[in-house]
Amino acid sequence: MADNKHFLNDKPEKLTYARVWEKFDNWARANSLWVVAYGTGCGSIEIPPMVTSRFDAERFGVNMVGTPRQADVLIISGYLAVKTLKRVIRVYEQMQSPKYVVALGACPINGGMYFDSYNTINLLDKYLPVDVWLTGCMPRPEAILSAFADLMKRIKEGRADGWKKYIDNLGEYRKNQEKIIKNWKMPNYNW
Amino acid sequence: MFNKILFALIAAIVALAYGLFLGGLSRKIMARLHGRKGPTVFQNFIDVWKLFRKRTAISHGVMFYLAPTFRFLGGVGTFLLVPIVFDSPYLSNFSFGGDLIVLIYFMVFGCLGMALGASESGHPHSAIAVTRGLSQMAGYELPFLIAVIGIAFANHTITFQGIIQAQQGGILHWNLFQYPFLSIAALISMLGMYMSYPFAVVMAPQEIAVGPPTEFSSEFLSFMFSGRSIFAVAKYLVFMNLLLGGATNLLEAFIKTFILFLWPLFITGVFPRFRLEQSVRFFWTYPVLIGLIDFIGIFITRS
Amino acid sequence: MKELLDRIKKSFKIVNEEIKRENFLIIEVEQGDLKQILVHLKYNENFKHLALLSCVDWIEDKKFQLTYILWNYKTKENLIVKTYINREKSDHFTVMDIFPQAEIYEREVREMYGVNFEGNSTQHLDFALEDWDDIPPMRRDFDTLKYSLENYGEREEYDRTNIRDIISEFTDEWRKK
Repeated sequence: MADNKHFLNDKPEKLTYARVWEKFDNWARANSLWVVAYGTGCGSIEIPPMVTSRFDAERFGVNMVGTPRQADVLIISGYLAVKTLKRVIRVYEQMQSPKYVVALGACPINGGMYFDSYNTINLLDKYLPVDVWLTGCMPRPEAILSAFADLMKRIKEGRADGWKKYIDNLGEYRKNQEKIIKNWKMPNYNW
Repeated sequence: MFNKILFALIAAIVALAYGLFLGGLSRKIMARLHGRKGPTVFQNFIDVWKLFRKRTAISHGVMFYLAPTFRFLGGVGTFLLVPIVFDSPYLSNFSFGGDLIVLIYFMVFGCLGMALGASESGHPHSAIAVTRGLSQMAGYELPFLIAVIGIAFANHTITFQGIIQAQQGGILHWNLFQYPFLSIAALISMLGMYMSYPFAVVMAPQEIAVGPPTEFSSEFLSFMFSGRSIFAVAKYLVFMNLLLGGATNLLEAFIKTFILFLWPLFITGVFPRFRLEQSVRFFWTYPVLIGLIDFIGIFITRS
Repeated sequence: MKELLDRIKKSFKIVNEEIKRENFLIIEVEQGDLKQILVHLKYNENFKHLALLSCVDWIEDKKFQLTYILWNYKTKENLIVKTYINREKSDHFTVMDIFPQAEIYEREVREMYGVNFEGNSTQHLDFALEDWDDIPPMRRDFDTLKYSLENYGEREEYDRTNIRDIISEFTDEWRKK
């Protein structure tokens, strides 16, 4: 699977987490979520109010980082054009597991306002695994904070396993992605 | 001898915890300056543990693995050379004759290791950040060296024990009040060492996506984070011994390092960033001139 | 504006004209006279700024309408020049040599409508769509809802194929009120 000397060869089944520490691990992951500072659509105008002084997100441990290598959460805010989807898939695959995706707005759910556009996708679920859906057009910063609270609850219960679903069903996701992205030059997935 | 090693290890672990606690506390204080509530004071502990338990799936060669190790060992090594409490059989670590000179070289070691590792990763942003970091280090080392050599020359000694010995006997014997211009130069170069805000161009997240640690992730990043914290505590101890008269018991060490911790924190909250050439030009003019006043004074009176 | 209109009419043939407001004039010309009129307007009448070049699809008349919007800095007047070109064989020429910014506008019109501008060497580059292989999407015979439902799918609970009829029912009721 790995044809590049940068990617490791062993699949995740060999590297299992120690069950004893898993509860503590999940608590630590939930209390320190690092978000990629990447605004994909029109919903990213609600992200700066969320992280500045009025609706403070840093008190939950949420921090914006500049590079996907150090991040846990990818926020898909708003519609996704096909051009952006190609880049978002690349960003998602550069993040290290465990990683989570939060979908903001009505457009990733069913197409939203742009359901009949030739350029934007209608269902995000076919191309990326989503952990938390949040409806609204655009949701207010308080609503986004409640989505983060929901994500934290799911992580603590151990139910936020979108990344495991992606690894298991990689073939299906790739089939859907290649159907709409014509000029596909992606490196193989790095475990 | 075994006692000394045991106590030095315990002191290193306590210093790591203290450094992470001070990091979280600084985030809380900055948040209150902005008028909002901040994260808990133990947030850095949670961050380090979370990063340690992430899976990593990338590798860029041998130097990539060695870079966080250099950073961590640079921090721990610097810490072990500096005496915490003066003249105590337990807490003076491994200070020996001539350790001041070794310390000046050792402090550069950590930054150098990170630079080598970052450039090995091949990320273009890392390369920009590494040039900025090393150029800025050339900037702030000059006033720092003027202060250190001035103090060493004035007291005819190059060991920490000698410098601390000369400052005993009351508050007015501290180097902060005996050689005020040298201490001003040292305190200004301290701002550069901690990359606090007027001189934070190295790690500027809005410009180059975090700086040298761009490609590092998960366990590597947790090591660099911890190394940075323990290195910070080691530098507080260095400045405490140089300027504030050392410590005669543990409580005094904690109080004096806390006072030194507040100095870069309050400057960080209210300043924007300088560009790189502005900061290097600043370091080479004002603190150097201020330090040279005392330096020449020492030369004239003592020789 | 009236004097300007008379001056233009003296030297060129104008098919249609309309003075909408005090500083707003719309003239319609033939495709062959377009370049000479633009050159005359730029160098003799001071309309030195091309604000927009866009296209309208008149599918019933089987024509494309190209619209050039010009602006005069000295007298602060707007002038719109329209031409109609054939829809099936939509060949036109570029005005890049008169107004250099028309290069990008022509790229957009070629991507969205399919008009071929002769003389513009960069018009085949992508403007907003990447790897597009269907007919140019702003033409009115391109069914964008069908394309979206086929390629991007929809949730199983919904059925959106006749959503346009449902929406138009509501708007007709609202209009009658």
